[in-house]
Amino acid sequence: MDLSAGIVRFIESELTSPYNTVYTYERYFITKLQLHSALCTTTIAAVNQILAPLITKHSERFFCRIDDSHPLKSPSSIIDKILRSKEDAKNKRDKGEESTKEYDLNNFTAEITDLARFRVVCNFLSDVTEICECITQSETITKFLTVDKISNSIRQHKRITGERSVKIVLKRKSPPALFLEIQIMTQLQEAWDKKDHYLVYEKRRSSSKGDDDNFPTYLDAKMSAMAELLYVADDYFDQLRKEEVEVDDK
Amino acid sequence: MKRYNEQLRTGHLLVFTAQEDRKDNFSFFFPVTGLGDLDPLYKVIEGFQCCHKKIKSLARYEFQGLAVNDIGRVRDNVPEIDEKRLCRLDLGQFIGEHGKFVKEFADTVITWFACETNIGLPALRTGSIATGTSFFDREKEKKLIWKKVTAGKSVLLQAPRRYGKTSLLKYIQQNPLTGWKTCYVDVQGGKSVVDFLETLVGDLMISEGCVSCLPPNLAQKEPWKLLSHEKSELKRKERQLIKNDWREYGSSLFADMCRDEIQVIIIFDEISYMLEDMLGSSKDAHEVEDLMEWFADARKKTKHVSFILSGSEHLQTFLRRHDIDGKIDDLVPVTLGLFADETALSLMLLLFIREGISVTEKELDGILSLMGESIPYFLQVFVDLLASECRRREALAFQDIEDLYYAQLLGPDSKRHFESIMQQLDRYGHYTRGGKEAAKRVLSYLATTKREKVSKEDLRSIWSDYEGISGEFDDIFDLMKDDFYITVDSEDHVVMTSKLIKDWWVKYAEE
Repeated sequence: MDLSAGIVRFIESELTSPYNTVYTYERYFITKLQLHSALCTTTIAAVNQILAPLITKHSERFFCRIDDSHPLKSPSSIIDKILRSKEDAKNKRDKGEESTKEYDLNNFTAEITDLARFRVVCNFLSDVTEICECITQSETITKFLTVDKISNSIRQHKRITGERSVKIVLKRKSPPALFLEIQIMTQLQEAWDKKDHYLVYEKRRSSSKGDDDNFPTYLDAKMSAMAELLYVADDYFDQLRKEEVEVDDK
Repeated sequence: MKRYNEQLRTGHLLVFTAQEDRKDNFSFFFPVTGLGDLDPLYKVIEGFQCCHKKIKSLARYEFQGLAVNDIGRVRDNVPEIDEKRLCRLDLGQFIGEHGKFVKEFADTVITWFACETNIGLPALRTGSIATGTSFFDREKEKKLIWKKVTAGKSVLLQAPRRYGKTSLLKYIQQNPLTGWKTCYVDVQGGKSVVDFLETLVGDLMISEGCVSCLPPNLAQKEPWKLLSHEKSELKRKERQLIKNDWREYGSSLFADMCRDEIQVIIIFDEISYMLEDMLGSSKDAHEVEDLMEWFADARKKTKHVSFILSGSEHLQTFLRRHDIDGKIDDLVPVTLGLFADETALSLMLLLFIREGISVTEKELDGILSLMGESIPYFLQVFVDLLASECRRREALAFQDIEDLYYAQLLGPDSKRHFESIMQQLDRYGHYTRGGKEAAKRVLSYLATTKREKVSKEDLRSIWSDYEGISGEFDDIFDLMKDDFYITVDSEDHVVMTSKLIKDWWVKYAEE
């Protein structure tokens, strides 16, 4: 993938030899993220245990699957996040507002909450809720991790940009404290995300200017509209399923 | 010791990928069951990462750990993965008793898979020749043999029985250096010079690669393409020619070997047995002497051809005792020893992994302590036994290993593994009247004595005390050294080096 000029500058100025080249910088981050990687593996195993009875319960249909295709945030995304955090903090300071959290090479492993992540992709919207409850309440998880934050954009009534999903941020109880994010979403929202990743996200990150001002805003608007459209479809499917269940019960 | 849980599909994949060619990769999969495995998993990842940095041959590989939800679908996320070099391991066996990472295990598996020619893991070989990936180690001996052969020397490969001589020779035959042709000839069973030459010609005929070593008239017939009865007919005719004048036939055969200037190694396996049998059947040392003299002369005259002869460590002294000058001084002796403990441990670990058994460092040490010096064949027999039992019972406790050693490995069901050793006693009887019984007494004494030191003279007097014994003790003692893994140190103290053979003999003697 092409790297933005800002990311290349960061690699060359912030990383030390032999990692300070675009060919070698990834190795620096891969080495730093081994514990996150292990946390991701063991949490997937734990979530599989939690999901097994639910999958059996809904065995007549597809219920959910775990997507482990990107268990770690890519090194270029990490740098991007560090750079954005610095920019956001500077903007806040310039406006005289309270500064937001700034990431750097010393704190990113302990502070960024989505370095390790995986997805649970569900069939219906109501499945998302059921899975979220099971995961956050299961002792299989809570014995080792605390639920740090749940961002639920599924039933939010205000306008949002991006896919509607539940993101559970879990924090390891024993030191070193580190985070992991589980994203729970429907198949339609996942499909949206994959298209957005290709059409918007990657293009914005690799843009030579490296800023939002030069990015065509209509693309954001259209993608946002598509996410909402798919949410309406999800909602409608959920209604249909509930009606189906009621008919079956009668 | 426990069976791997093959049902677990979620785990951590440690991938080593060559920077220059991503298709050159190998990986280890550690299944996990939940967050309780986080600390050991991290310890293992760190340990492997550390090994990656320290092992020089891994410099061309990048190391990466990956979360895998379903190992059966690993290609979805790692499309270039080489599944033939993907190995399932057990997290628990890499964490020692005190929670320490077992570096030696990691070194073993990494070093094994980093070698591109190792496709899969070595398989158990209990009796058959270890070939391909199952042929383990012997790096030092391989290098030494090739060094000598490429310098134009011929080699005498010496070792007691069951040390893996034939496997090493077969390895050399099947993996020659570029530009070399090899021919393997097993002369065991031959009882005359005619048999020796007939076996050589017969084996040259079946190998297309050795066409340059065949006389032109035979090479033209392309005997490797012939049907079996046609080959037999051809061999029968050659045998007649050999019988007419073996010296002329042999000299002509060896002279023809030089014609194409192709570098060839001819491997004669089990030469000691053939010579012993020749002496045993004809009771005439002259034929052996004639053969050895002629063969030594032929070796000198034959350019571009090197020879590897395999035999017992005591071949020369054995021949001298029969007043035969073997004329083998031109052969460079290469001795095949027992596996060093580290090599034996590595082999056992890899064998157990292949069998889907998780074994700990303590258990492997326990196995070695039970067996004593590790004779490759018996090492495999014991691993085979333990793996079968572990698969049957799902797990074996430490005490079970010892119980299985005494009850099964040394028990009646394993009798066949010791039969070839027992047959050697009959062989002693053929050499010397009463030799079998006298040798039994010597062995029983050696295996059961409580004395710290036993000298050769002590054993000689036991031999001589046997009523009716006629033969020389030294002759048979040389054979016993090979057959029963007996060594004599510089102070003339005699010991049975293999605890296993000693234990077995004690049990056998009791019966």
